[in-house]
Amino acid sequence: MNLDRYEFSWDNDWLDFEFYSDGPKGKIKKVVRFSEVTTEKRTVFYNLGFGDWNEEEQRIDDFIVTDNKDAEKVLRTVASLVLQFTEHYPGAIIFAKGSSSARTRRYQMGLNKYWKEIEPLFSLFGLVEDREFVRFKKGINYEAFVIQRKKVNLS
Amino acid sequence: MASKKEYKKLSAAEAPWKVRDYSKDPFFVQKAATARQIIEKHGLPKELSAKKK
Repeated sequence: MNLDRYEFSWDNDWLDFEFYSDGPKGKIKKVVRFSEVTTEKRTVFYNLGFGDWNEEEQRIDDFIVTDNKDAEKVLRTVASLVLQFTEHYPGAIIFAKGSSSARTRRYQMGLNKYWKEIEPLFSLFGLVEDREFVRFKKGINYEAFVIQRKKVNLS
Repeated sequence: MASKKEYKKLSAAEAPWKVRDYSKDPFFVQKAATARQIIEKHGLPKELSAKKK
């Protein structure tokens, strides 16, 4: 498989990650955060948040479409971050949903493309028709995803 | 994703540059709130072993 991805950095808690997209639009700082969430029933999971850093406004720009011609490389980088995060939080359940349906579809395309590599390492479920989470299958459209690392040691 | 040979677990000391704390960023706060609503509505898949607080 193609291992081409961006170098990234992380904070001491392994919750915040940064990397720089590099393409025709220049260098753009990307931020990924795994936010711990506790439900009313005290269940803990992590939301995977992903966006561009707006230096001028000192905040994440959620709806910007960068189009830096490196979507594949960015997806591979985020996949590497998920691997690192789950090394440090081995039982963590991660929830992911794009800021728009187009972004969720992009996540889905990445999951479809790398399904052979993902399936041995992760249990993956998709939300269908605002109804329930079901086991992920290629070719079905989902509205959100939850993923948990299987007990496989890669180190 | 990575195979066993291609993958290396990183340590905090290896971080190439200092990363700021984004926990208070409104975007991430809002995303987490939306995620909580969805999971409280639909629950997590029973097949997953969720941690309790």
